[in-house]
Amino acid sequence: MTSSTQYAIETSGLSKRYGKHLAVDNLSLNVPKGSVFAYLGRNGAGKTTTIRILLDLLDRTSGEAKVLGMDCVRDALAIKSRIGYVAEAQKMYEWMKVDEIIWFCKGFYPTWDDALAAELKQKLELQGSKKVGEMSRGTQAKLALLLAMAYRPELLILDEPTAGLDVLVRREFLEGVIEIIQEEGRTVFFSSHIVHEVERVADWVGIIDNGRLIKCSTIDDLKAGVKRLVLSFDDQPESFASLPGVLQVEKSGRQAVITTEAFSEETLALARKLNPTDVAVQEMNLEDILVALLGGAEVA
Amino acid sequence: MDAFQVWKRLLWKEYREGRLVVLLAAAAPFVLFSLPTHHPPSAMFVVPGAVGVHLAIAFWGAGRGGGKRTGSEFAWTHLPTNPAVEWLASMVVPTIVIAAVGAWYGLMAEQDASGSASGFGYGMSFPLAGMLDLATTFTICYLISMVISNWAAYIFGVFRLVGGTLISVWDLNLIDTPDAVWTVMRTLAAAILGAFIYVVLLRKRSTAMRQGVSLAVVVLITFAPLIPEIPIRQAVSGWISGRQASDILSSYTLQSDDGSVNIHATKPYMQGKAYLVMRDYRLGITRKRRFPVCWVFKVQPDGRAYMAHAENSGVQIIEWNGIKDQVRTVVTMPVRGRFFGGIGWQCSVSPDGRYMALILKSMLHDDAADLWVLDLCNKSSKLVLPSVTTPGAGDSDSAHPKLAWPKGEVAVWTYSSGALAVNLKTLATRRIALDEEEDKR
Repeated sequence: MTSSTQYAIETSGLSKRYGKHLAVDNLSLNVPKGSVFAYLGRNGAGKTTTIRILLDLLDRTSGEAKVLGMDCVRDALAIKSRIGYVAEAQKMYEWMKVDEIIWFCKGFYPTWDDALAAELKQKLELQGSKKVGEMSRGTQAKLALLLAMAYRPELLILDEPTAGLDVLVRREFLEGVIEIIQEEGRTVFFSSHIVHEVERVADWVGIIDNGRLIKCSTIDDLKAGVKRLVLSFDDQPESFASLPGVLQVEKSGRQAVITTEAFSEETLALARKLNPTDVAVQEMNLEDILVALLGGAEVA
Repeated sequence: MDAFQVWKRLLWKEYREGRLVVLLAAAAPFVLFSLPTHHPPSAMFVVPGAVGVHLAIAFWGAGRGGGKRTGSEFAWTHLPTNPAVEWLASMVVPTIVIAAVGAWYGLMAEQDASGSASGFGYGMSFPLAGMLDLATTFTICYLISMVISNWAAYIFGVFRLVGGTLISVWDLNLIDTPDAVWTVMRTLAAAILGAFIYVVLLRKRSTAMRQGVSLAVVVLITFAPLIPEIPIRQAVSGWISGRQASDILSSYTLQSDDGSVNIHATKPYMQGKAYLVMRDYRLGITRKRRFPVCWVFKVQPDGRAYMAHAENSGVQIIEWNGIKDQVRTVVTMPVRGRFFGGIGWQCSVSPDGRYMALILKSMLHDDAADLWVLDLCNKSSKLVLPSVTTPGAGDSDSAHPKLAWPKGEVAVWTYSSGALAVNLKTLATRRIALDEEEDKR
């Protein structure tokens, strides 16, 4: 195993059980430092549960979890002072004004950077005299981002931060995130269901389904491994079992579209052995890959 | 992390969230008690003021627990602060402030009243009552909003007021009783501990578990010590029939014939004890004592009080010498408790303090009364004149039998029986001639 200092988040055999339901099942996840890690999955797949365990907001049933090399339960306070967290529809004190909540949060972080907070406030176009409760959800999300960034955390955890926001606000928020990430070069652990937007930001991806981690790699590796083979036949074979890592097979007339998660030259050679009249390889975007990996079910 | 900075901010947040309610509650006594005319103060200002302040505090507490219930409290989820610190700042510190407001209200009420002719004169009882009442109201409403829902807490706040719990706490004589104070303080501590369990100890557990454990702990701490004392039948019938505010607490005051000694008796709802407070105004003595449920029926100028306590074997007559704080059982009368009270209820103690004459409801006729004589020294009782009053013969509630103590005898006069005398040694009865009767009058 690689040295723990290489990873911002490490879990090993992590499980969380609610009665008979296993929300997180034997999760072993390594998030490299400096990466922008997209944590994807259906609703109820276990994304938020994982994050709440990492933040010591929830007890784990078994397994280990480390954040920045520290145990997420024993060193919970130390971890919280070194990470930033933006949650879905984050609830802040609605009666506080922007400047008040900035002052309030500042007291909890020795590394708080007033200049950075002022810069972010300007960049995110936040008005200091405006009450939190009077702000739109999009502006509240921006404020949450400011509060999570102003003390220069080593790790930023974003749990569906753009859920419920309209397209324009979502784009604006994500652009803010991208800009900050580029400037700071920190680790970002990003859970979202807006897959095509995550694709613009992330370089690593972890896919969780029914509490189990089914894929964890760089986006480039993932895209290199998961591809569509479009095979044309005069006479279609009954089975494509000879091909490795088949996720989906769609037959249409003389054509068969095969999605494989184990694409390589060898896979291509095996496909040619099925005597197709034509072979084409299609690149897939992250959303299509996710749909294929999750069995074609709706991804949300 | 700088602990001072953290505390400064957490307390600032609490101040900003609660300042309006606390300032209004603290200012209320100023406004109420500085009005030019108010008499009697208790009727016009103390009660409405207490109700208003109580409701404000109850509603404030009831609106505070929502974020903690759902686990979305910003300070918990996002800030690097110990949940116990947040609990101290958001619950314990406000409780102390609210208790101080309650004490302040009570102090102002007490000072205001002591300057008037009808002053309460209860010393620190009023501030103590205010302190405990407001602090308990706040913590319980806060806990309910945290564990169940805000609406449940609002409803509880109103129920606590309307249901009469407030009345029992504010009853000055109840607060005089150490057990009652202990009960209220136990409730207060239970609410604070319940919140600690919910938001600190079990905060990472499932909501159902947190709710179950914290509520169970609160109920156990509050009620477990009372369980042996709760008369089950009364409790069950109370819940079924819906208890009235007046049932929560029964209390009454009895004075000696010369007014120098008075005894205030209180029996809180569902408690198997009665609390007695004796004040001897001549000697300036105040004495408090707890008794089994009893009915005080006679107070003597020398500080002795007589009370009846019903048991299976009969009615125990207990004597409490409040000045010496001595208790003794005088005698157990072979009658049922229900014969005490009702028609013809009369009691008189002989001038030498040796005998007591009691006219009780008759065991034979519902509308008649019997004369009993008790030897207080030799611990004996005797039914000497059954049906000394009879219905339809001129006796009525407004024409009670008259008792007197001629030498060596107790004399009784009723419309139906005329004048009779009972020899205290032989218990022989004789009719008193009219001229003799006139002489005695």
